[in-house]
Amino acid sequence: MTLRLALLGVAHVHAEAYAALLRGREQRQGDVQLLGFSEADPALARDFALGTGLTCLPLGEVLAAGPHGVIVCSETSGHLDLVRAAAGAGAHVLCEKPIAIHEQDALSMEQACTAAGVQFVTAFPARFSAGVQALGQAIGSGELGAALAYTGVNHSVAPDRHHPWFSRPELSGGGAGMDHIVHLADLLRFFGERPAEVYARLRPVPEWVRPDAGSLGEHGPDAAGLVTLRLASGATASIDCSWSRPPGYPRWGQLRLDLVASRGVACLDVFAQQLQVSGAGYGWEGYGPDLNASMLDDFLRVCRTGAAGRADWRDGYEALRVVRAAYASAASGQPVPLAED
Amino acid sequence: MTAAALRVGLIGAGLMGRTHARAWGDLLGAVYVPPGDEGAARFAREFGLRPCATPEELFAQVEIVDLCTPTPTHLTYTLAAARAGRHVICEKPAALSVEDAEAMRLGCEAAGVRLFIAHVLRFFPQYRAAQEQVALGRIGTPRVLRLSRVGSPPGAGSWLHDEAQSGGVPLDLMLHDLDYARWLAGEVGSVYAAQSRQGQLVMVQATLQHTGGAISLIEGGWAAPAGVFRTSLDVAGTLGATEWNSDALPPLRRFGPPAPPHVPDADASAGPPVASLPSVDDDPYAAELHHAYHAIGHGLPFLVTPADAVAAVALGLAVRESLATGRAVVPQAVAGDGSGAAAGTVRL
Repeated sequence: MTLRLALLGVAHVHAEAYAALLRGREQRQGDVQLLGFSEADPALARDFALGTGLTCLPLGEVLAAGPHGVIVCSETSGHLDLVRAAAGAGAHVLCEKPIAIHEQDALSMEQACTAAGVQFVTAFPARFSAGVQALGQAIGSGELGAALAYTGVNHSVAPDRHHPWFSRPELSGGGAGMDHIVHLADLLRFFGERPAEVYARLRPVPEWVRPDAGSLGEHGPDAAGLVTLRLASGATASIDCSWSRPPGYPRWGQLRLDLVASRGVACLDVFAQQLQVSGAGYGWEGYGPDLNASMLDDFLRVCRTGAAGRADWRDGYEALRVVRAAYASAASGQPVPLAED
Repeated sequence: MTAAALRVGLIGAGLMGRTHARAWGDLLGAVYVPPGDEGAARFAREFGLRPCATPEELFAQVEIVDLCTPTPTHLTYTLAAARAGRHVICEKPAALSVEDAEAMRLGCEAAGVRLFIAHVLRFFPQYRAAQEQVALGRIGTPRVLRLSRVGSPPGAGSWLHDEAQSGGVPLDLMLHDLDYARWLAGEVGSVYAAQSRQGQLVMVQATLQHTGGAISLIEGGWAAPAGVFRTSLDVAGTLGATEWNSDALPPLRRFGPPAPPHVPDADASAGPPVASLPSVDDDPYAAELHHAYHAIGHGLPFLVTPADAVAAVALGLAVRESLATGRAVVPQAVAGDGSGAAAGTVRL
């Protein structure tokens, strides 16, 4: 059957990649039909339509066309309304990360989706990495022994140069902490770890963000972030979520995770497969499998079968709880316990 | 040149003593051999050093005393050497308490002798190069530092395992990077640390909040498989970032038939085993010892001041206190000499 899909909100950095992937599939395989997208910001809507060739439609019209699934890619503050609307129209949801700014919004999303009988899938593409899966297997099988410490790096260039809302807390909920804690928090969860306590330092760095966000000084969005987790297993984990790479960095940033365990050390570099390309500039071009494509394939499966996605609502919610605990710790200057929910 | 006249004597003929002896080369002339200490006596013969039966006999032979003994002995030896009017070079950590480290600093000051605590990391070429990038302003003001140091546990029976003697991972291992972080990003206002253990394996992850606004992640562990030692640095500043890790490839790698096993020179037993040594240019221990020697000989400032060393001890202790309490803690205040953190002007 041909799956009808739509994008609800296109403010997120990944929206264009999703649109291009689905467009390609629509043209090559014909098993999906991209209905178009909704976007509240007219200027962004116009640019996105020009860039992708997709049609911008009012939200009600998109949903009236009966999508089997939607991808929610708005500013984080807009997720809840879009998820509710999609659920009300009977569409399965793939929601960008973090799924919400506050736990309460996330809980409301879950209620809406459960009541409507649709699946909520969290966009955690790193779970589809072969390296991630192999490391998960090595941990699960016990061949590495007991975990002592994970060191996670998800630092990047600040995304707000092209997407200003990332450093506007009323839209994003924060800065680098909101943007980049979740992927590694989720990988730890994927590996079976459960956080028991969270400590974080989250600091503004005006030079790393847009001048308008930077001019807020101490009140600006956090751009430097170091998070430490005590895990229920007895291991510890650190997450560097900083927007600390300069604009001239050869790539958007890094997603790496080192594990020191009692019988071995493993070093995961999710985007290690890269060409070094030099010319007028210098950059790293990835040649590894497209994780977004794998994630979208999985979402199509969800839309076809109604079964759960690889990362579900609970996964998105638990990652958000780590983020909230990190902000609470940064505010208090002390570690914050994270009880089983 | 006055420096050429200075003679060096060693106390401590263990692993670090051996490392220092190789780095000193001909400058080292004597070693303390406690009565009945066969290992130290062999050490003296191996390196061609005059064995001295008491510290006082050693002090009479040299102008500089190099201490490579377990940490708890540093204070006593330092004060004794200072009273004898001898300059002191001492392995890190200076001591296991701020008070003891302070007493070493003040004792040497009062005696009019120099005290150099051997924080060798500052002399590793890549760490030195990264510091130079910061000092040159290439990456702006440091804002996030990541420093990691994970090796296999010390050998069974090593005194390092006794945390009452060594201070454990925070004071013996992480001390390097705690000092380095303070060097690059300045004084520290709060420290939080978490650790995990599996038998003898230990991993510690610590976060520093520097008073100037930077944050540092310092990770250290005796937890890697045998023979594995991994370190990395990543310094992100307001204008740029610099990254290095020990997975970086060496200048020469070989494939195919393995390199033939090293055959000692026929006359190796006659002198120090120079053939198996790294060249002096590449040996950070030689760089730090020659720096200290030169600075003492010419009355020049040290790259690591006694106050820096005391502050490093305070940071290591803060890591331990945070581990003990589970809270973020304020490191013990240290009397500064104003030349410590962020000093970028001292030349090697």
